[in-house]
Amino acid sequence: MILYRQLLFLLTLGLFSAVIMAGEFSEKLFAQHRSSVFQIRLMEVSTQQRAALGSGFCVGPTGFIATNYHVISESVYEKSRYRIVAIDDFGGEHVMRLRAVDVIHDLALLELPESADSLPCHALPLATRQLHQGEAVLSLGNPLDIGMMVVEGQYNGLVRDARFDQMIFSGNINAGMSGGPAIDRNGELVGINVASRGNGIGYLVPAAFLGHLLEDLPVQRQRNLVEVVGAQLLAEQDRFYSALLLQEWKTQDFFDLRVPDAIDSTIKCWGDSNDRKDRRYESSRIECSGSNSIYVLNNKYTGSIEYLYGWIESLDLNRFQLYSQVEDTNGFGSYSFADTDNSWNKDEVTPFSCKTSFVESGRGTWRLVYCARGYRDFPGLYDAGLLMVSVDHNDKNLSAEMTATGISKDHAKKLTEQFIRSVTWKN
Amino acid sequence: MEELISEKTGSEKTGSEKIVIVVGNRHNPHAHHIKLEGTVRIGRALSSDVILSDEHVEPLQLVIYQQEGAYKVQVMSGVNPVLRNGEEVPAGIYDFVSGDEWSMGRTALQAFYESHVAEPTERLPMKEYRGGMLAQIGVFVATLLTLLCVILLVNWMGDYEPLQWNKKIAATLTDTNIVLVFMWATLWGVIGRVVAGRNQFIIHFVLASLFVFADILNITITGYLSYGTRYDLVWDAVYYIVIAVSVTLLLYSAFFYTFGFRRTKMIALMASILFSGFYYVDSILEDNELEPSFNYLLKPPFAILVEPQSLEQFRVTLDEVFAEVDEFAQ
Repeated sequence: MILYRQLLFLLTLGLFSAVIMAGEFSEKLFAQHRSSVFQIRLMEVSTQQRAALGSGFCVGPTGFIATNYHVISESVYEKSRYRIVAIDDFGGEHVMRLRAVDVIHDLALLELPESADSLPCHALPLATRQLHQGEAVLSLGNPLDIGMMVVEGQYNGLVRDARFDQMIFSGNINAGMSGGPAIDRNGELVGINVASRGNGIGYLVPAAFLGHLLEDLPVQRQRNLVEVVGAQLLAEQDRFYSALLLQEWKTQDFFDLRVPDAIDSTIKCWGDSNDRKDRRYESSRIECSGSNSIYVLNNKYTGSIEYLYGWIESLDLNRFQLYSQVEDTNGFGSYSFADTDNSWNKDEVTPFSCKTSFVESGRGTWRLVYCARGYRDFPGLYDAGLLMVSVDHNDKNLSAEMTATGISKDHAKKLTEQFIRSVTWKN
Repeated sequence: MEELISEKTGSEKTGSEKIVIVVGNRHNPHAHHIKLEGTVRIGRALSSDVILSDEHVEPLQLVIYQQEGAYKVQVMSGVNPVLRNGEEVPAGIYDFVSGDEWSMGRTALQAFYESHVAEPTERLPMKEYRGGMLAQIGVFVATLLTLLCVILLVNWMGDYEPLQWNKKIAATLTDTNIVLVFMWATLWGVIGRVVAGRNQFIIHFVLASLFVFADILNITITGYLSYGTRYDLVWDAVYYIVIAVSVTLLLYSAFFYTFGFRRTKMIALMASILFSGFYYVDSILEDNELEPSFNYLLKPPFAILVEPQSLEQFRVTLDEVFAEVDEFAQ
């Protein structure tokens, strides 16, 4: 009993010491690096009011601050309408220039104009070592515009099966901390705050991508950043779809057909079916979608892929009723480019062009609708969608829908054809 | 027969004989009998001998007078034509012929010599009249039942949820088409009662029902042809043309029964063009160019009237889609 009490005392003491040490660690590092962290304000010129808020930190050559692309994205497209201001820990305001962006990994580099006073900070060194899961990480930033803060958390590995590498941070990243640094116990930059899913789960951009952006800085300084964004989007979709179209697609049985399953590790599928007792038809649905989209502007995303299947089999519907059901529920009537973000406006995207055909494929006849639209700022990038509905049975029906956004013409056509070929009746 | 022939020879009658003018309109052609002699002035002016309450008639439109022992009719010029026995006559002087029917504006009149033999008294067709009413009610009930059955059938064909007949029948009874047909018939029934003094509810109910049948047929047939052939735009156009034609016919028949013949065709056509124009503009305004737009219809296999394409042929379709997008981008 005495031994047990001694052990309990030691354990409590150990935990208490660990908490004290962790507190000291964050206190020391915060004091050491807080001057390197800034609040980033995107100011709307005509009203002189903030349009977006985030955080940033000194990095690389003197006079450079890194932040998230999504904090300053509007200024890429409307340079004269916005001004970027970095607020230091002492309240000093520094007007910055946007110099380089990485739209895929959500990073941006701001530069202090040469004529301005130097920034009162030292650049955070990029970590070169590999972090271990569970290792302590400090996230810094200015959440909710209430002041500079430090958040303790742990590194919990990379997000599994993601299209773009992101680190999982077990700590509370809040709005306004976007673009702030995440540092290890050595004070080295391991990641950049980028997103939060609530409940203590946050995401960091690995510092290595910031390293790549710093390397790309001399090239981007010479270029129009809208073109840079377009080129990055094109290159990313090329990397993703080239691999996707080369690999063998996994298929699965879906009632009387075989259909593509999750065709890539980054794509997840979900299923559902109709279980009403008084139902007049059996119906099931599978929905698959990619795990990542790319933020472009004003809460508009691109780079998604999604496909879904709806199966209907009549219990006592006649042929007219069956096709009414398909038309209203699974078919063309419900087709809204589910994953196409329709908040894009007509200055940003072209109208849709759509064509409808009957096509023989996969031992059946299909009614196909194919639609596409283009991005005005990013020539060569399109949103494309296919809807295929079987039209050769009176008592059963499959509808399949596939949408890809931010895709090149060639990849869209190949993806469409491969998808159609992969949907086949078993008999 | 001989007497009748002689009556139509105005010059044979003496000018001292009185004439009888029967004044009415299209719906009540024998409303008033006026016996007059000497010079008779007919028109809208209060100074006329026969004052017509018809704004489409000139203040002085017709003058019947005696000349050398015979009656003559002088037609005065005016905005609206004067018709004798259904044929337009220009302004001028004409021989008086007993029994001639003269139409001006909305007024019809017939002039006889006093000695013109009246037809024998007719028996009131009481049975026939009752039969007519019953027939009208029968037509109304039959039309209503057919309309309800057609709408019920259309609803049933498109319904894939568990059948609840009480709800389905309630939905049919309150269907927009039924409501509109009743509203249309009631509106024109009231107008008919006020303008023509007759109950026209049933005829307008039947006409509106015919319009609904035509509309349902139009949607169904052009829908199938638009879906199953390669000429979807053509059949879409046919759909709108049929709408315009059926609206014209509906309006024309409504005006015909309530207001009479004149200028009805033109009014109906103008109204139908206006209606189609609003319909088209409304459809354009509803178009959101940021939403994909295509023929969303789906039909059973029998509706496919073309040979399906191969996947290789479909590649051309994909190329066309992207070519159009590239055009938009420029």
